[in-house]
Amino acid sequence: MCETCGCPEAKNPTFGHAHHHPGTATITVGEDVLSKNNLYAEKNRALISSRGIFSINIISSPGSGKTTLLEALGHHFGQDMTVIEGDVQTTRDAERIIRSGSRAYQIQTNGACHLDAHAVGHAMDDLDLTGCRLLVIENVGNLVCPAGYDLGEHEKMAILSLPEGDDKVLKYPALFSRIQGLIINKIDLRDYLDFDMEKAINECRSLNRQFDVFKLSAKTHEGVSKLTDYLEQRMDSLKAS
Amino acid sequence: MHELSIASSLIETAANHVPEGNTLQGVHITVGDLSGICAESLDFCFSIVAREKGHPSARLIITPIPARFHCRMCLKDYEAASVYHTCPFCESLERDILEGDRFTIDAIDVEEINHV
Repeated sequence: MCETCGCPEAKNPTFGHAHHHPGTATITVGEDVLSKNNLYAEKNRALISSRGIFSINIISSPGSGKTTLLEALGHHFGQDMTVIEGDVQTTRDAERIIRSGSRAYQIQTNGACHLDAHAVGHAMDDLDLTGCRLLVIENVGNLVCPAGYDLGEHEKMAILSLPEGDDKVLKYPALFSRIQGLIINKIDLRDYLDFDMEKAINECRSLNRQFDVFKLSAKTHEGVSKLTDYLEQRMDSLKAS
Repeated sequence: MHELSIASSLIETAANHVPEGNTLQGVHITVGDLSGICAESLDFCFSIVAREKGHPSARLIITPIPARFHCRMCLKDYEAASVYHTCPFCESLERDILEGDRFTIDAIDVEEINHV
C-alpha cells in the first residue's frame, strides 16, 4: 500500500502521483489562491487609472484614527475625494466623511473581516466618479485579513497609532511587508506614551524597502500636510501619465 | 479569521478545473509562513465548505513554505521560523524577503465518477 496516500497499488515509490491510480488524475493548476479576487482588482485598477483617479487602500486596527484622518483629508480635498467605507455594521463613518465635504459610499460587510475586489468593483459601479481625483478605500479595521486582498488600489497604506504600541509591525508582517505608506497617527500623544517611532519604522524596513513615512495627528492636523502634498503629487503624476 | 472565505474561493477555483465526469478528491496548496494564513484554520474551514458545495471527498493537502531572508548586512541568505529572528550569522534585522509570502493552488486530484 502507498504510505503517502493510502492507495492499494503503489508500484512506483515516487510520490506526486507518478504512479497511476486507475480512474484518477492529478491536474496542475498553478494559480494564486486569490486569483479570482486579483482579476477583479486588475479590472478596478484599470477603470480608475483610465479615469485619472489615484487610489489608496487604508488598513489599520479599529480605533487607529482612519475615519478621523479621512475627515482631515476631506477638509483638504473636498469633492475631489471619494471614500469607499468598509464597515462591519452601520453607516456612521460614511456620514462623518460626507460632513467633512467629500463623497462617501458605505459597504457594510455584515460580519466579513475585510473588503474584497468584487465588492469594491460593485461600489465603483454605483458611484458617480465624475470629478473624482482621489479614491480612498477605508478597509475594515483589522491588521490581518485585509492585507491579502488586492482591491485594485494603486497604493496600500497602513496606519499605526501611538496607543497601539511600537511592537505591532513584526506581529503583522503580511501587512507591513506590502505597504507603500506607513502613517504613524496620534503623535499629539507622544509625550504621554512610550512609542518608539524609529523602532517601528526600522522594523517595517526589515520587511519592506519601499515605503514613505507620515508622522501626523489627524486630530490636531500636525503633519497632515505632508500626506496631502504626497497625495497631490501622486494624483498629478497619474493624471500626467 | 478570513480562512472561511479563502476556503470558499479555493473550492471555487479547484472546481473550475475538474473535468466533466470527474469528482474533486484533493486540492494541493502552498502556504508561505508570511502569507498570514493559518493552515489549521483553513483546513478546518475547507472540510466544511467542501461538503457544503458538493465536494464531500475533497481534502486539502498543504505544503508549508518557511520564510527565507537575504541579510542586507552580511549578504547571506537564511531561513527563519519567525520574523522576530535576526540573521543567524550577524544578528542584523536588515533583510529582504526571498520566500514565504506565497499562497498558491498548485494542483487538484480528480477521480472519474463511473470508475470501478
